[in-house]
Amino acid sequence: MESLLLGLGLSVLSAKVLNAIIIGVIILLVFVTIGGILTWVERRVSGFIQSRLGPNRVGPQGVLQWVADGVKLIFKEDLIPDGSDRILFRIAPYFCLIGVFCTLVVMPWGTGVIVADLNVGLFYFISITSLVVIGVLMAGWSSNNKWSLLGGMRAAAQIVSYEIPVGMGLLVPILIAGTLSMQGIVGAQGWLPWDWMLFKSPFTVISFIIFFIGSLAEANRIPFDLPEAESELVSGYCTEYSGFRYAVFFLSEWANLFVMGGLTTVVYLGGGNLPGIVADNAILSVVVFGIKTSVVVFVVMWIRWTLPRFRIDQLMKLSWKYLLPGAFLAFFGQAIYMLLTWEYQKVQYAVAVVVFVLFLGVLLKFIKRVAVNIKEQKLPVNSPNAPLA
Amino acid sequence: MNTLEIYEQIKKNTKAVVYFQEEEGPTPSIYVRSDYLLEVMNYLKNDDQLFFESLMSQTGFHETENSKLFWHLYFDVNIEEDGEHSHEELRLFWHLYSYRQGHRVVIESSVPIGKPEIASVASIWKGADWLERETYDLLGVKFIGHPDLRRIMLPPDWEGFPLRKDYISPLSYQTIDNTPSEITRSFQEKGK
Amino acid sequence: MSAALKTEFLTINMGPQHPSTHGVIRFIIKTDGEIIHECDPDVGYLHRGIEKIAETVSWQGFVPYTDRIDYVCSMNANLSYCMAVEKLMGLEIPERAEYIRVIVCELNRISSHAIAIGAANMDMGAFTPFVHLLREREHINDLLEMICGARLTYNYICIGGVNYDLPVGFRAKTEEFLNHFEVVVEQIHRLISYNRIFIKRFANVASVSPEMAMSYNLVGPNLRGSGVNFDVRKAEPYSVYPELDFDIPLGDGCEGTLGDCYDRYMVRAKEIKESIKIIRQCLEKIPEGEIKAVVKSVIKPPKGHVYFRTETPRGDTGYFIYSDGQSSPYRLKIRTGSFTGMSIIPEIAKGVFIADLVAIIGSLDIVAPELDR
Repeated sequence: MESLLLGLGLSVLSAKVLNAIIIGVIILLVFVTIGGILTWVERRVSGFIQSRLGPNRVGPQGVLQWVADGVKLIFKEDLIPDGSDRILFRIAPYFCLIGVFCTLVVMPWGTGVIVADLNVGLFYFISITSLVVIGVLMAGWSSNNKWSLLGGMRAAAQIVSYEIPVGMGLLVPILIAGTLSMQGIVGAQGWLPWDWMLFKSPFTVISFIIFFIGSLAEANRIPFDLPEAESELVSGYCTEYSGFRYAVFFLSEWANLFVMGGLTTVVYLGGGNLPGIVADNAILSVVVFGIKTSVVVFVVMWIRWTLPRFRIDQLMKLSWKYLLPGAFLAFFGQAIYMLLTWEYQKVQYAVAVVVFVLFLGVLLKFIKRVAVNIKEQKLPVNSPNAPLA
Repeated sequence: MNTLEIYEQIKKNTKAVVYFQEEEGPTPSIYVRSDYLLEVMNYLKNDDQLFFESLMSQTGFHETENSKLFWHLYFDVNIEEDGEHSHEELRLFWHLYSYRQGHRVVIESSVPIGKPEIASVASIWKGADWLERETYDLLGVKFIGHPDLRRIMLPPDWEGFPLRKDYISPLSYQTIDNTPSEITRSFQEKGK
Repeated sequence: MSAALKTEFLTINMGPQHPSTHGVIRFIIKTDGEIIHECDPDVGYLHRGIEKIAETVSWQGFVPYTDRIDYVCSMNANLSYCMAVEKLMGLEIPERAEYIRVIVCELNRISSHAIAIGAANMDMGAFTPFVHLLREREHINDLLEMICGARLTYNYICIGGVNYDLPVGFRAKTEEFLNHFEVVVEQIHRLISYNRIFIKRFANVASVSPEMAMSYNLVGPNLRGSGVNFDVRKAEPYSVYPELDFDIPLGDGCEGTLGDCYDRYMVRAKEIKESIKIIRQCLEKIPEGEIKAVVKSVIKPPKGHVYFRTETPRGDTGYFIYSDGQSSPYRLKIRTGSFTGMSIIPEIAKGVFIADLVAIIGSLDIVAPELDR
């Protein structure tokens, strides 16, 4: 892009600036689209799990529902509660937006498809998502609403506490890959399942679980959504927001879901890696990355509509008493394992294959259990196929 | 034990002025004069054979007919004559049940409408707390010794006690206008 | 050094409107941020003066009002009132009518407990069981619509019997539904009731000892959750319950202490199975016959008072009726299970988290219209 602009005869500085602006606008559009589409996906998936239809009127199968919601929210009255801190109230949503949107810059969408391959990519990723805490706290405080304040403080406590398991869960892949750059971590994995970071050793499995639970908490999803969708707080720290400010919170939450799914894919599931024959095909790589991220996002939504939520003290206990020691255990275990098998690459390969086979066994057991549930359900009454009285 | 036996026990073991009432309806009841209520209730709760662990319900109503039945029991108590309302009284009922023995009893009492005060049993059964608040709210009976007697169903600044027979709805409440419409007034006339 | 900081408790208002299915109730909570120090319920938002209205309508005319006292289990509310008046009048009901009454009341008990379980889960954040149970409840609504034409407030049980007879095909459809529902209830339990997170939210929260339960006069599943073996259908049987064979599930502190929220919740869950048993027995035993006793069009019960209680899903609903021989009640008082359930909340909500308060309300199964009448 930059060379294109230079070729048009602009000076170096203005080419750089224009380049940045154009890329930023494109990423913002991508971010908004992803956030919107994911709301539609969530509603359809939740309807499917709850044996009802989701939105299916606006556009084919309801895909334009989020556009309709966005238009409606833009037209709403822009309320700022009386007695609230006006400046903080106005800028709070944008901190959440920035926190999520800036991570898309270092996301490796496929092999070679990345906006900025920083050599501290992963570190930048984790630090930028911490801006969400500030946004949430500002929103909770400036709403002049005791419940929002409670929600905001709980959210801040939760997000800050779970940053640590997330960070620790990411240390093991960094250990294996030896680099913080996102492309480097993708490159350290292969396209076969047992080449993914997830199955490389039992310690990576433990560390994946800790990382996954931590990222659920970072994204404020059930079972960790105490700050927002409680039965007491209407929506926690964003209760007082209406109109487009609420849409900004909304979009950033769903895009955060995608970002967390993308991070999981990149770091643990070998995001975007292709077999040797088509190794350089960028589009196929993006497609593979998209598929893997969608699977992770679907699992996160599935968990949301199945489990109840934790109470604040149980949440804190989980993070500090169970996840953190577990993450340390995984890290030291992996380090010792790598030290012991430094010479023997074949042993590492074999362990990875064994771990993958065990995982397949667990998956089969799970599928068999689901089949039992489906077989048990008899024909519902009043259905067209039910026998008449 | 049925009500008659319980009545005999109460007469034997307490100094209360009680009266066995069976003219009204399928269930007999024990009428206790209002100043002996706490003593009788304490005895009913703590006696081993009776052992009424729970108060099922506490209620009352406004009796406007000439209730000579219970008026003679009031001559011992010093009440100012309330003019034309002096024969009206608020009759109160306590329904007790014993889980251990499996029997129940109805205790009755009444207070004159000029001085509707009676002892509270909230110290004996905790469930009486809200039941008495409701009776105070809707009927206007003051329970002496109740830890926190205030209105429960109606707003705290409501005037009047709705379940009394001479209650008239207020025409306005806190700037909300409640004058009945023409149609409502026509129904009210017809009902009379 | 500065002087000691002056701190005070935060007074927040868990207001009349909140996203929960329990209705319009309000709590004024004094908290230090998370732990509740004082909780004062403010009720009366749904006070419609039903007891005062009863003094102006006729005896049969009051039956639709009883529907609205607790619209989640209307049939049981109808039954309580009608049986109280019948006791006052000394009326005999034909046996077929008694069996039909028990069938519809137990069907309504199933649907009410389904809502109670679903709402308790929804307050905890698990939305799916609630939606699934509502789908099952639609089948029950269809069955009851077959009988009387209404889906929520039935006005079906009347003084003297029931209004309409069971239609053709009702028995087959009911049995089909019961077979299907047993499986679904077990699935929902596997989904949520044995889930570790759910148990951690409900167990050891706000346990009520049996003595406290009896003193506060908790009734119904709340009382049985504390281990007290008392059910009006067994202790003071009415209608055809003496001839039916069913158990009473009790709370036993299996996951925490005796009388905590989990016990109360599981008592309701187990009662659904018992209700299914009862309905099956009734469908076997139901005789032919009339469905309504001969009652005058303007009934005037003799002067007197009666206190009659029946087992509704929320406890026992006691009706105190005083009649003075006129064509409308002189005084009618309804003492409902939600009222006593609410009165214990200031006591047991001390020292719990705000999130636990939601669990407590869900486990006590408080429905606001029944509370305020």
